[in-house]
Amino acid sequence: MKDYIRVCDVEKYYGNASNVTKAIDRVSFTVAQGEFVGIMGASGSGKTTLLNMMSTIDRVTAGHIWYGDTDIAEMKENDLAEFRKENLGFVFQDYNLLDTLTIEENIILAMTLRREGKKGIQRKCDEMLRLLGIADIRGKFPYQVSGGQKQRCACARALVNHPRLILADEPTGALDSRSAQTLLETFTGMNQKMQATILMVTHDAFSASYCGRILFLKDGRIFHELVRGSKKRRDFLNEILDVLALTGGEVSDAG
Amino acid sequence: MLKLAWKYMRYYKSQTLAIFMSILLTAALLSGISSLMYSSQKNDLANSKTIYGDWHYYVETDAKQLQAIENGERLGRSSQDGQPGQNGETKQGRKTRQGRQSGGGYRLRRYGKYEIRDVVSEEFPIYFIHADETYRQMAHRDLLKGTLPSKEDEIAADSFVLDNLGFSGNPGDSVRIGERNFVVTGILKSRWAADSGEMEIFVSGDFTGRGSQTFLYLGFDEDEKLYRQLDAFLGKYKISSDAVRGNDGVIQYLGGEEPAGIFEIVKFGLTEEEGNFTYIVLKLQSDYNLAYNGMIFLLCLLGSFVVYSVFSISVEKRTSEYGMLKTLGISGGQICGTLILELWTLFLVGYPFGCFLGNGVLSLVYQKFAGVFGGKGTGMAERGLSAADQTLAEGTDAMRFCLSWEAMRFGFVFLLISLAAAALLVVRSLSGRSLKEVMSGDTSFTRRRKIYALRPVNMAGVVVRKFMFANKKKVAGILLSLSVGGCIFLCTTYMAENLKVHAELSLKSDDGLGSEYRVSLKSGSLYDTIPEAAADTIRSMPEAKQVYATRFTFGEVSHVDELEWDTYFEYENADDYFIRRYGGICLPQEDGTYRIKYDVYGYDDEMIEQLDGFTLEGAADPDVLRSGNKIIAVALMDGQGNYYFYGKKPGDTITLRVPRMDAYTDELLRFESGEENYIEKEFEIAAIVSRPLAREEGFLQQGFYKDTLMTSLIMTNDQMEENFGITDYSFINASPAEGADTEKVSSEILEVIRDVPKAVLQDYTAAIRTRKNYLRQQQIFFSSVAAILLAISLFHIANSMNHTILARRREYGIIRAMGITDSGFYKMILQTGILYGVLADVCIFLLYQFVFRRVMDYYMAHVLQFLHLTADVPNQVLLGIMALNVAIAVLAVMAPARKLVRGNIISEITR
Repeated sequence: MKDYIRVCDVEKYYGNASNVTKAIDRVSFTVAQGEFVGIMGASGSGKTTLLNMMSTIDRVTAGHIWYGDTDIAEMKENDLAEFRKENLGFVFQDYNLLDTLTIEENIILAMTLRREGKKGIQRKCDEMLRLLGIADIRGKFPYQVSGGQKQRCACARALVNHPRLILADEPTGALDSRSAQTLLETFTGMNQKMQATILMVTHDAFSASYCGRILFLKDGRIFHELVRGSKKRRDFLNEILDVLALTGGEVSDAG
Repeated sequence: MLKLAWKYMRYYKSQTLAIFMSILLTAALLSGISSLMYSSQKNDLANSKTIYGDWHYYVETDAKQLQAIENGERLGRSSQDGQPGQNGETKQGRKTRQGRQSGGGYRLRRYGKYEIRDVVSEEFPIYFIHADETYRQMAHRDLLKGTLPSKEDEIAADSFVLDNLGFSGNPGDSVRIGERNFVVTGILKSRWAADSGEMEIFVSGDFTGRGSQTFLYLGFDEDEKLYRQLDAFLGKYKISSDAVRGNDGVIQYLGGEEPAGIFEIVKFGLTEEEGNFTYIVLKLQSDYNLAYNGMIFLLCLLGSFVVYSVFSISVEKRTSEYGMLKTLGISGGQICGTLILELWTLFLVGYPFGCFLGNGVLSLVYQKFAGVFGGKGTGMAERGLSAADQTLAEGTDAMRFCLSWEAMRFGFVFLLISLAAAALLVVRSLSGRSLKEVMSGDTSFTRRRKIYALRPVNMAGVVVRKFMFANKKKVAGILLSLSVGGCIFLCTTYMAENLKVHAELSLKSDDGLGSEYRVSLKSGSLYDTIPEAAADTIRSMPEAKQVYATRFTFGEVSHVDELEWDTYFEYENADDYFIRRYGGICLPQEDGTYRIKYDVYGYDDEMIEQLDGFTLEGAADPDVLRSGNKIIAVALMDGQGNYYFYGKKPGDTITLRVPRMDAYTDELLRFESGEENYIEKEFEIAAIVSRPLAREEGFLQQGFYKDTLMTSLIMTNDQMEENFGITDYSFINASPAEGADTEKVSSEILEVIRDVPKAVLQDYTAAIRTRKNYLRQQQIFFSSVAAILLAISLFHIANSMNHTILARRREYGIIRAMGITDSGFYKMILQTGILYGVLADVCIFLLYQFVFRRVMDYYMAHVLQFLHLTADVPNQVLLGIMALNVAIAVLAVMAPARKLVRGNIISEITR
């Protein structure tokens, strides 16, 4: 598969002269088109920071991030906005839905930004609502529905435009197990049927087992990588747990 | 985007309402005040036309030139369809007129001919005038009774002239003027009610006098600048501009003189020795109507600031949402567009409503506030008419309320642009941070690792104070809002208090306005006096009180060795009248000293005591004056509130010469005759004052120089008798006793002075009533405006504090979860509110005392030229404002605190 994303020697520092924290320490890797990649690590390992930089919502301190031939580290703000609109879909842990809009309107908003026709918008919206099982709450506001329903709405918003890359930060963190499974199966479906490239940050081994490749971060560096290949998901899950055990922590430590 | 903007407006209802109300109040304030000022100026123009006549310029001309002008204008009019200025003129007529205007450069609405055929100066100077109908219309010389004269021995005049000629009959009766008898055929309306400057008698075309002097009175189209039209007119008929005189009272409102460039004005004010800040302000006011345009601009600026403040708080609440929108691909420009749509939607609804509200309310109460603006309260009487005469002539007719469309249009455009700019500023503030920071919410303060308490006592209070004061910019904004509203109110009160004092002093100082009645002499000769017996008779009238009789002589102060203001008398020294009569006002001598002409007054003791309010140095005590034969001197004033008396101070001496009365002739007023014709004495200065009280009009207070050339010396009446042998009086002021019939008092005084040659009576009862009413209106109006501004700033404060508290509801929820009681929580928040209020009080005190008050003192003394700045803000008002600030700050924090306490702890924490 052709490389879609290239991360080259990326560094991220926080703080000022007297108090500097190195969140990401010269990380380099590639993501091929159509891959489903997971990023795992303990708290403070830098996984969310890495995802934020790759999703253009944070700036790198040093290094480059290439999407095809485009280095997003060099892009201006207006160009980044356009890039996000055309290529990226976000799923956040805390949903980040607009309280001023209904469930349906939150999904439609993403399409109106691309100036799609009214009929096309409605058709896609209905399709996504059905797919994620939230058609019956389309007229409600986010503060009126449960966490799982909100997350499914957020996923719908992220997926409705069929972005080239879906970025998910702990998408199952606030969900019950059934909702989490539904969401992950949706991701898998997007990946397999629509060749969507997915980058997911998670601390949950179960969620990670749905990925095709896992990158393990520790202290801002990639210290290990697992590839699922043709393994079954259960086997892959055990491998993940072994790696986590090697890092010295239980699953609870990673939370 | 429009839908998103609408959704935001609906969701954040309270913020939307706050922004809407800000726009509404701003529009109401802007439109109301500007319409009020505009209406006042329009009414002032109308009043000025009533007082000074409905014409713009007059030109002295001769028969040949007059004929040329008449022919020229007749030709111009005959080429049009219809008369100029008529409504409903044809399209062709309009096109022709416009074409003519653009080609000729002027449009002469009308012109009137005025001819002086003779002058008699037996009793008073009387002018025999022949004028056409147009002039009579321009000068409001309407025929009230009878007919206009048609024969040589027929005349028509106004009742004031006829009364003073001793005529009490009806049209058809005779009157003797000089050596001739005339038949009075008609009674005309007086030129203006109280002016007694000139006596005019209208004669027929058959009247032949001893001379002829012709003037053409011009009335141009007022929609265009007058000075441009005049230039075109003069150019067409090749008339020198020296032959033109303007009706200053009217043309000042209509662009009668070419304005200087703003840059030149500012440059002169800042770089030239004669220029200063006051000059800049006064010149911009006269040329560009600074007060009106400046007020509109300031109100627009204030409105923009208020709306921006409220709006930025609203946006702060949604910072993380904007970050999230950006992750979806919305650009900064689109977010800006959403904000602009939101603001403009509210603006397009709120602004017209606000204008309607402001104009609606003021149009209903306009009659109550008609005297607030426009030269009735704080302005000077600059045109040779005292404030008394001006007020009386203005009358109490209903004033028209006019909408200031220009201000509303300007406000609309200004606010529309500034709201867009506000949205842009808000978006720019977001763009400085990474998306991640924006999404995490309000990060307008830097997180610091700082120890806030060394001892873990009252950590909850420390945390709360940290929340309230962490964002320095926001704290400064809230303190500024709390302070500015209070400062505006204090400044308005300060100005209103001084306005009251100034008006009272003006009432005393303007001729007659302190007293309802003034008996004076229509004479410029010291020979004419009011006998002491007449003054005693008036004093003994039971229905008259506060009868002050003033003695007068004309003098010359010599051996003045210092004159720093060496151009002060420049215009007076060049004036033909002063040169002819007095040989000049300020004459330099060979030894380097100066001789300066002075009015010398003898006042009653009560009047001297009233000078206390005008004292610059020393003390005005009649006993001290008498015992030491001292004198009170009136200082020169430069038109900008700066005073000067030749470097002299109380204790120094001056030398005064006055004509002897035993061989008096008017020629002695030139002070060029032999020493034996004068009495010369040296006087010590007891006090220096800013202006005299009642003044003599027949000598230095002539025409343009009335109220400007006030070179005066004052002593007691006894001193006038002892030093110069003067026992008779020049004028008398009196007031009616309580409950007296004012008409009866007036006629009794008239009876007393009937046999006094050249004595006239002026009745200012109505004018005084009107003036006091205007003052009350001004005080109410300015206080109301200040209260509205205070309300707007309080509104903003409450909004800011509400947001400051509620932005931290999660943290407060955590503190409550940790175990603080409700009363403990309230106490914590209350302390913070009180702290805000106290800090704001300190800001108010510092700002008001050290900044605003000084600016206002300068402005009132030098620009408004208030007579005496003695008043201060009453202590109750000062303490009241300070207490109000604390109360508002406390209420502003306690209201959201109460909302928090009522909420469920876990729901607050999990927000």
